[in-house]
Amino acid sequence: MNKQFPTTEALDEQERELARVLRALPGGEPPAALDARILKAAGNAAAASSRPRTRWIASAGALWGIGGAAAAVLALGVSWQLMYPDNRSMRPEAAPAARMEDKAEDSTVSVELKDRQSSGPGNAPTQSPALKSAMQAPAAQAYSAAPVAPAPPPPPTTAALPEPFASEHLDEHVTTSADSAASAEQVLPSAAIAGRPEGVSNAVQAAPAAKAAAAESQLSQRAAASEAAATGGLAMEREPGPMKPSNWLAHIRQLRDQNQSAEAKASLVQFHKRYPDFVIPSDLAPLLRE
Amino acid sequence: MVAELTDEELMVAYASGDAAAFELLYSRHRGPLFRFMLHQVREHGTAEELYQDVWQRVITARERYRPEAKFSTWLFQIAHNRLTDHWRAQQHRPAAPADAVERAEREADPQTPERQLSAFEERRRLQLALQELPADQREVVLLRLEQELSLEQIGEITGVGRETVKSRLRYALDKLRLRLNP
Repeated sequence: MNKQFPTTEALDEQERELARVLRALPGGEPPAALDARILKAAGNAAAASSRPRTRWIASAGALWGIGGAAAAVLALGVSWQLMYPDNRSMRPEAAPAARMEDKAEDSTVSVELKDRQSSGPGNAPTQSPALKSAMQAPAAQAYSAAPVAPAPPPPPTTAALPEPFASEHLDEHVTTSADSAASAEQVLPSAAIAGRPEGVSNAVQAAPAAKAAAAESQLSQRAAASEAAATGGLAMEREPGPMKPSNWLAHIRQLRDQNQSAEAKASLVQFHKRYPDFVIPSDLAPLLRE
Repeated sequence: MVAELTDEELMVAYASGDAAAFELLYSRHRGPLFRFMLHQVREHGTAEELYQDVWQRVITARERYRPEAKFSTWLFQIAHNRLTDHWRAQQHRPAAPADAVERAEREADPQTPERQLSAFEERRRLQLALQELPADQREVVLLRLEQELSLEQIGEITGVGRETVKSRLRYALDKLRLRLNP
């Protein structure tokens, strides 16, 4: 195979002379321990490269299971849709991100949905609590905690779809589609005034205080939970990754050169724990043995 | 049988999970690559780190290797990239000591007070001259003199054109010769 590549180009006389001296320089060879580590890593990688196929084959059964479950959920969803053909008020297109963009539109939507509900039970929302909470969480997070951060995708909702719905669910959905805790507070008790499309401010006046408080509390809990989840996730992302081995070793050398042997040694011990397969450079190895 | 395989065939075999192929491949290139690294960075510890990183990258990228490229070119390309990262991290390559020449002269072989160019001094002069070269010239001259790579291959490795390689090599060789034969 090598024949297709250009062979090495012969050196001229002057280059040969320099090369002779260059090859006589003490270049040394990599330490045996380093050789062993590299070969071991290569062997492990070679062994691992055949594993994914096995894993895939092993997981084929699980894939069938997941596929079967998905088909069952789909069948349930279709049959549920057939049983309640008018339940079309669920608006998956009203995604949290879209709702973030236009607060005024949210208010309109909430009033519109309230109207639909008041016109009869057939117009009741089709959204299950699980789906609502899935949609609420990102909305609450987006409005209250991190407006710039993209909302996470809602968790799977298929299992909750067939659950019965109630008028309160509509309220919750509408509430969370509002852009702030204040507006949520205003819209929450809207079920009581669903037949009054005069405005949200009227709804506040007409709402039972206890229900509003309870709903607010529920909302704030959910918002806090989603915020905690979000900030937790962000914290994990923001947490600085481990220092690159070369930088870390350079730092240890710095400490050593500044006569901070104890710190250097402690750091080197940490390094060795963190990268057990990494060969400690020969200039630092004595520090570890001290 | 395996020993007769080319580097490229060995690498492909290794990518398919043949660890023995890697061992042979490694044995062929460990010395040249290590010396190349050592002559570039001068410090044994740093050279070991970079050397290990290069092989680690080879291992990681094994499935992306395509035998269209000569293995040694690919290997030294990885080494070149790792060195570039290293220099970038260091911001600049530490210059050779200002009194490097004087120190070299002070440490001259006591057996040759007349400063006859002994083999020992010859090597030391070359080493100093190498250290004084700019990194790009040193890299080119090492690839040429140690690995005997063609200008085209060196260009592939370092990512520059043949004429640039030729120019860098000429400057570097002139400086080395000047140092060896003042």
